[in-house]
Amino acid sequence: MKRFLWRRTGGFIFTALLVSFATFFIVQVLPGDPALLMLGTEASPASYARLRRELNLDQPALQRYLQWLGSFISGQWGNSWRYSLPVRELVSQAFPLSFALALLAVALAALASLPAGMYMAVRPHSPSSRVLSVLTQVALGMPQFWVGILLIQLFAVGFHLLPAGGFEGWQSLILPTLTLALPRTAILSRFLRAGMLEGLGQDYVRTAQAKGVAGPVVLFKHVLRNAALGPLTAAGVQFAQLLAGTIVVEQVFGLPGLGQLLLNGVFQRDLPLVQTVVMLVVLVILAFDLVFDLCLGLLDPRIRYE
Amino acid sequence: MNSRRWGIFLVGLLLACTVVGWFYTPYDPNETRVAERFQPPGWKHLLGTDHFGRDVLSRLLWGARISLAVGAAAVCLGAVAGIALGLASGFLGGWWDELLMRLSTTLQALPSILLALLLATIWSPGVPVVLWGIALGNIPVFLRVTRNQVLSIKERPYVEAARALGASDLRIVLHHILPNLGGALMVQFSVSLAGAILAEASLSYLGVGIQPPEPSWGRMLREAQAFGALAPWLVLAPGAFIALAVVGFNLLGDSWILGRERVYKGE
Amino acid sequence: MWRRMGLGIAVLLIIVWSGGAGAQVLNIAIPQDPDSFDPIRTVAAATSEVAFNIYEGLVKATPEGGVAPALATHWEVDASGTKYTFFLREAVFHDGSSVTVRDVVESLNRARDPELAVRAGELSMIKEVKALDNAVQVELYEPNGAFLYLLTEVYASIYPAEAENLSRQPVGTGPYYLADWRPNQHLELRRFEQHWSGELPYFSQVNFLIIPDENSMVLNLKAGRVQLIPRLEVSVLHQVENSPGIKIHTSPMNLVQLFAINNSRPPFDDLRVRRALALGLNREEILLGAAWGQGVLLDSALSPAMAGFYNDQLNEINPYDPQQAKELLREAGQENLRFTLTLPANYPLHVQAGELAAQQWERLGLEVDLEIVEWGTWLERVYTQRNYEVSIIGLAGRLDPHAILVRYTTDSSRNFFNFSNSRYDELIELGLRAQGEERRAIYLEAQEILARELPGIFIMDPLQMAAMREDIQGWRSYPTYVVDLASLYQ
Repeated sequence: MKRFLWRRTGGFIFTALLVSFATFFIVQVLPGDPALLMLGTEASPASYARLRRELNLDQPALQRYLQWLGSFISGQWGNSWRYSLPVRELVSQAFPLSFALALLAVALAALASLPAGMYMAVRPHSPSSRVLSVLTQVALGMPQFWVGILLIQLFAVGFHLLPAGGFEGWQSLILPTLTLALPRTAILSRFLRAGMLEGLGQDYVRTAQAKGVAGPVVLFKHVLRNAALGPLTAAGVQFAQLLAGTIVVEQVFGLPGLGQLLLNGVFQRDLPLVQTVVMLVVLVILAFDLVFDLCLGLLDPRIRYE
Repeated sequence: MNSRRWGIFLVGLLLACTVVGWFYTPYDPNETRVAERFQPPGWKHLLGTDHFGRDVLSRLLWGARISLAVGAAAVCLGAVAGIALGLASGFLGGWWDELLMRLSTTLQALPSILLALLLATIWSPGVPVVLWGIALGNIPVFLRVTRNQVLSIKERPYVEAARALGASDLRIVLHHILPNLGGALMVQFSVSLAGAILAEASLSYLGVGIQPPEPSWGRMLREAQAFGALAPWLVLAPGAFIALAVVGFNLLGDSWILGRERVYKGE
Repeated sequence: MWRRMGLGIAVLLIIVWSGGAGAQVLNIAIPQDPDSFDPIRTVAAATSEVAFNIYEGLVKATPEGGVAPALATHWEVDASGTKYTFFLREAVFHDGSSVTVRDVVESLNRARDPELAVRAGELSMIKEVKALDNAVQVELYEPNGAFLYLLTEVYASIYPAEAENLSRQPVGTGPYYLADWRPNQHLELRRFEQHWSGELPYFSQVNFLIIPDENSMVLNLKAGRVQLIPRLEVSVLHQVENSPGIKIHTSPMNLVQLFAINNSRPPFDDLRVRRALALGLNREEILLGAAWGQGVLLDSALSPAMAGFYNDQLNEINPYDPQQAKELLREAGQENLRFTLTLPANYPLHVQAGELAAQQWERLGLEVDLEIVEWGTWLERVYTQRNYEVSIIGLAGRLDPHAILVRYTTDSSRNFFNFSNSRYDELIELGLRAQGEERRAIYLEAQEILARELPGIFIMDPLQMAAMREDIQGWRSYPTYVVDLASLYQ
């Protein structure tokens, strides 16, 4: 078990380092001259000099990378070029919102996919099951921002029930959470169904049934436990997609979260801000994956010996 | 079974729209006719007109061309790179394999949208951003699929036999491994295309993708959001098209799996 | 982090519930952050909207387009018309310090220093600023009819001589002070209890909520979470037009929307090409399509709101004539011209006008690439560096015609068109010193030159629509880009 822990954690650190290098490379090396990019071609020489000094552009790339890495790890994230504010401040204002949204969506998706997936597995040929199956397929195909717009039209404009945009308290999170959770629920329930169908067809299940052990007991204890591995693994992978999805959903609902911060940074060519936010998001994704892997390792011994 | 038919139907419909749109649209998709703005669906304009009086159906047909072209190109790019790397990784094994898998995991940690946003920061919003963002995001996916297939095929008896008979590595790759990849790759290609269409729509919605006046389904939704109450068809039509296209490709991909499963069970 | 979030929620809940709790709080929606609160560094008109309530100058603007005393109780002009003596009143800054003659002198001197101030050129008529006993004397090189009006601008605001970091922490004498600023989220202004006028505005706290999306703005207004939208985007007018509980104040914006053309970049240095672009433009379609008919077409750099000086005889100069346009292009050898039209993303009116215009120009056989950039980028690239081919923008109105027209002179720092016409430069010079009918005639001719020589193509003056809850009273429309908070009440 310990070896497993070390291996996975080591993998996490290694990957995180690689990502940090990739991000740094794309943002600071690829454009050639980042100062030129940020200021345009005809800024005053004084502005150039100032920016070059701020970004330490006169030093070789590798050295800059190591410096940036060092300060990133120690929490000094520099200043946003556009706002002249510490990136840390901007991020700490935006982060809780995005994180809360993501967690709520994951929780909702997990909760909703259980009954849906189980039902589809247990009664695969009933009309409701077929309808559910179709619905999940459709839910996967609908773009998130479309769902968001439709929900706004329906609930905020049509019925004046919920806020339409901006952040004014927990009600503002209801529609965005629903929007985010929809495709996750669809995919998780499909995975659960597939896993359970496979489980139900196994020999040991039929043996148990032949022996007369009651149906529901077999179902819940063994099949579900094994089948849950599939969607759990999927959920881990999905988290990356989820965080990416929050960017879009925040835009639809006008929520001042990380997504909006990032988008503004992109449009304004605020390289320090974009770099840090992307790095943060990816770290969260990787951390989540790590935790997931460890939990799975706990649950399923087979994984530990891969 | 059913899903395969639906998949083929939807994808076929999409392709038909694209081909038709290439040669003929009821109106010029970019032609503005402000006097005819916000017309609801009717005989003259089957899906109505937008805020500039442009025919929605024509824009959707034209947009199909763009979305599909960009999506397919991106997936192909990613696939070619991913397959090549996957072959290398699975076949060579050992140190190479470790490295490539690590790099693949790294790339996978950056969702397509984040990659595209990074690119949009250093380039400008537009097609290259979408193209490369989606392509790079697909490399690890195809890498994995290919590698897994290679690993499982490598151990098959007939491959060992070929090797015993003295066949070179290259010959083994070309004659035995590649042909058997087909099935898995078809599935992945279909699913990836579905994802690419969604990704492009999202990026265009955010404003970093296809730029006006080129009609992109995602962009059309962005513009329609303001007029949701006034002209609901502007919101419903593009979204429906995106959904149908994505569902179609997903079904097609799924049905390939089902088909192959039946084959395996018979073995 | 969690505590901050909880605090944020609490603050916002308080804001929402405060309507019934006794504290008078007003929530206003604006589409983007101010660029900087340093009076000598800000260039965005939208910033002065907020800054109007924080800073004051020696004089301030009135809704009728006139000039009223602010930090100066009164002023005298000597016989030669070049020496202005401003008598200071007793007033206190937001940080508690008194306003001294030294503060005024420092502020004005900084504002006219080209090394420090981005708009220093506008105050180049000042020869010297002298401190007197409880008064400030400003000496000009020559008599200048526009001078007093210029002192109402944001760059002529008075702040403490030792003030630092004004960009984010402005210190002024206005009826409100900046209590908090969260970029991308909101600005919080609070009533300044020691304002020199002794009159306190009704609202003790005003929050400017940054809501980039116009749909969100409208929905928030309808839900009552925002009580005022000073500049409603015309594309969402239909969403509020007949809404219960909401009223709309319409007034001319005194804004000139125009296509800016980089006159120094070939082939746009050829008048025929510029004229072709003008003749190929169907502005009626743009008025309808982008502004929903809510505006007045313009052929002049002035708006009809400048009643005394507006030249209304210019509409025959550039009619919609695509045939002629194609002719001109052929003459100039530019039938296959391909160029980039740069649009500022955050102004839907401009983006849509640009999209429509691109279509119209393409009907002439040209190829137009649209480039949509964020506001910061537009200010940098198009306005400051003049690195563009064709763009579109609205130029905010000013009180005096000189201030508007001087932009098109060859040496103006605001001449991002790179336009140059010696007769025009001459006229603007003369106009400064002229009076009455003579002055009017000069400006009429100046406008005609602009219409013929086309530094850009004038489109329209859109109507300003301020949407607010029915119980908000006291709204005053200014011919400049301001929101007068002190006059509002419920």
